[in-house]
Amino acid sequence: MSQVIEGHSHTRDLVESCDVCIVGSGAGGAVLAAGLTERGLDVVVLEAGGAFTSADFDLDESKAYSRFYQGRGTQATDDLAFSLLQGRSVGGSTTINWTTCYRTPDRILAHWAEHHGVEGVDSASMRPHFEAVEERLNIHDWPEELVNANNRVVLRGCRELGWEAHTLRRNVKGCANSGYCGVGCPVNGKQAMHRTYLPDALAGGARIYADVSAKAITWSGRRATGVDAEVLDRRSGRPNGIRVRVDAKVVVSSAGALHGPALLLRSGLDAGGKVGKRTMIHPVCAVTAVYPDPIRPWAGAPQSAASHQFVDRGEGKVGFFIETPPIQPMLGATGPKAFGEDMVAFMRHLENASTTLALCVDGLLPEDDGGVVTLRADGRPSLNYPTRPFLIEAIREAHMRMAELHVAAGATMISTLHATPTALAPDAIGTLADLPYGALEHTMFSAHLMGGCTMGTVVDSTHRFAEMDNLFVVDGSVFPSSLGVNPSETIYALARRATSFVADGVS
Amino acid sequence: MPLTRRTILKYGLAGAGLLAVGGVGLSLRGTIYRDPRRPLQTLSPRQFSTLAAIADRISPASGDAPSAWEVEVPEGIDELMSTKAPADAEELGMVLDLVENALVGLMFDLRATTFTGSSPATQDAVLAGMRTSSIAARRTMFHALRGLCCATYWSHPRAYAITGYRGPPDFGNVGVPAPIVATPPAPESTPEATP
Ligand SMILES: Cc1cc2nc3c(=O)[nH]c(=O)nc-3n(C[C@H](O)[C@H](O)[C@H](O)COP(=O)(O)OP(=O)(O)OC[C@H]3O[C@@H](n4cnc5c(N)ncnc54)[C@H](O)[C@@H]3O)c2cc1C
Repeated sequence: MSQVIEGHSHTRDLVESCDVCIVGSGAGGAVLAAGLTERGLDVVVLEAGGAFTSADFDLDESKAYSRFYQGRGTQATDDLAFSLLQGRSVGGSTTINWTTCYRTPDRILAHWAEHHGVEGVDSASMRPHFEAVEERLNIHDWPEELVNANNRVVLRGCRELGWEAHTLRRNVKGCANSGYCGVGCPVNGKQAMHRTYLPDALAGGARIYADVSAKAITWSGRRATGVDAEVLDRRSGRPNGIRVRVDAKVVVSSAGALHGPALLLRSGLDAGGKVGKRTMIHPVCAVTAVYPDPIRPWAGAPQSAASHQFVDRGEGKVGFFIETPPIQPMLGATGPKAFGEDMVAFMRHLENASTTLALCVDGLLPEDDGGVVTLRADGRPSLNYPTRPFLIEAIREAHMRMAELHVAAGATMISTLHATPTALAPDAIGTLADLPYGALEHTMFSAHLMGGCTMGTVVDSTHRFAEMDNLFVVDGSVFPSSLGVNPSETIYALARRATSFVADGVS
Repeated sequence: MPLTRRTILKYGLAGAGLLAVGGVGLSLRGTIYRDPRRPLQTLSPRQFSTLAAIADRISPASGDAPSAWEVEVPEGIDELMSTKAPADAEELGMVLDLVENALVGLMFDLRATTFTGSSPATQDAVLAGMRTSSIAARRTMFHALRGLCCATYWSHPRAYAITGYRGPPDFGNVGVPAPIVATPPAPESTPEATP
């Protein structure tokens, strides 16, 4: 069985040829690569990030974000209003994601069919794909007795208030419940792509190149001819001068949202100006609260409970769902805008602090077309994501509801991540209504990047790029809207569904 | 004004324009230099010194919490920038030049001194002013500087010790160096093993 080929092993330019060249080895690329090799096709996968194993995951935040994340962990929207977390290694974002798995809600699939002309992606036709990936990735309910204190806050607060709340399903096997999913699983418990579908693809004969970044897809007329790429030096992240050329019968972009659209734009493929449009991010805001007893928000599975009480807030309103993040000190420190003594005081409470996130469901209102990816001068993606009034309304509401949740769960102090630090007693949370909300008024972020090559516009319902016969996009960038649930399982299942379309493209 | 990186660049150019019309003496006034403990990779000595001053206001020594300087935050950021796209390092350098510039300080904060030459109280006021500035580009700059300084500082064991966090657990090396395929399966059961 072959292994991933790492960048440092190349001494000269490389020319490859194959049936299918897949750019990106994350949720979409990995499942697709495994499916295609199972059908006997010759597959090459190019991955800009490095190849890592549990031996590399020393759980040290000071190294992990710069090694395993896009932009060394500092990727953000154009105005820096939203930090954008996205993985960059063999396995893509699945290597460092928090393992929450949901099937796509029926109402979202119906919305895609009705408003975006998506065909054949309904719950009945998706069911076998969900079942197959759930089996391969061991996606199953996380028992309530293993839910950590941070997630128990969600369950307790919601139950107290009579709000909907549930435990989550996770793709883990032999999980040590340590809480470090976001910096790479040290015990191989997470059933991420580098542990599952990519080894399957390798066993099927795929060649996976790590540290190789695709510069452009080459094409002529309606046919893609291959991919031009360059080898990156893993430490500096910069090209080391060695070039890679892959000639392929079919090319697939699985580089994820932001970077997938950027690859197409760099290649001169913009689908009539549609590539990069409708980029969705599940805009996230957070509320932190201090409890009398220790929470230790750094320990235990990071996400194991959620509330969908407000996911559908009715016509004209943006919904949101509530989850939790893992709070190791570095990640926790990037949230508030405090500095100096205020910041030290904030961090001294960390052990007793619980943080909840509200993820806003963007792209469902008719007037909500999300953000736009364009290219920077150096060819990297730039995301302009405007914070429009309907989103600001949802963010305000989300702050107030999360504060209510924490009070019901027994918090003694509630803080928001506003520019002017706020710390409120439980009986003062009503004043949250008067605070300013929106870009740079408070910290916001996203770990769910979606859209930009939307199905129904940039690609058809078989993932085929509109202007080409043999170019496909198979990753989270094809979503026409956000989901209202965490996206990974939808991407796995769509990629499995896409396998036959891509295979047909070879012949 | 749209809040983009380009705005920061424009804002930088405006500063440069002012220098050209006679502010050179003021703008170059009195940087207090700090010596890096490792060779600098991306920042100039002036930019490094400005960053060191900012980092020490964002994370000053406080009780058992060390200062940013003690845990080498400015060197850490300089090193991080050497692994990012060159344009990012240039942007950071420009932001630091603007914060240090006394003329820009006079325009926005009514201080005719460099940032490094200002008192800690003035430095705090400058940072607080940037944080809530009505000019979006200044809020963006604060956010960028604070994020880099806090991430570097709070991932240091001496800093996070004050939070009650004891550092990551040690699981030993259950993997093997070869990428992906030769990695042994996860242990069937560990003391805390779960489904
Ligand atoms: C911290 C974090 C936590 C998350 N937690 C969850 C969770 O709990 N549940 C959930 O459902 N989702 C979660 N997600 C999101 C989920 O992991 C992603 O939505 C999903 O992995 C996206 O799949 P993808 O195939 O679109 O892209 P990715 O998985 O991101 O893979 C894209 C790959 O393409 C590579 N690439 C990009 N450009 C190029 C190029 N030019 N050349 C070569 N390679 C390139 C990238 O390096 C990357 O490895 C999380 C994400 C993050 C960052």
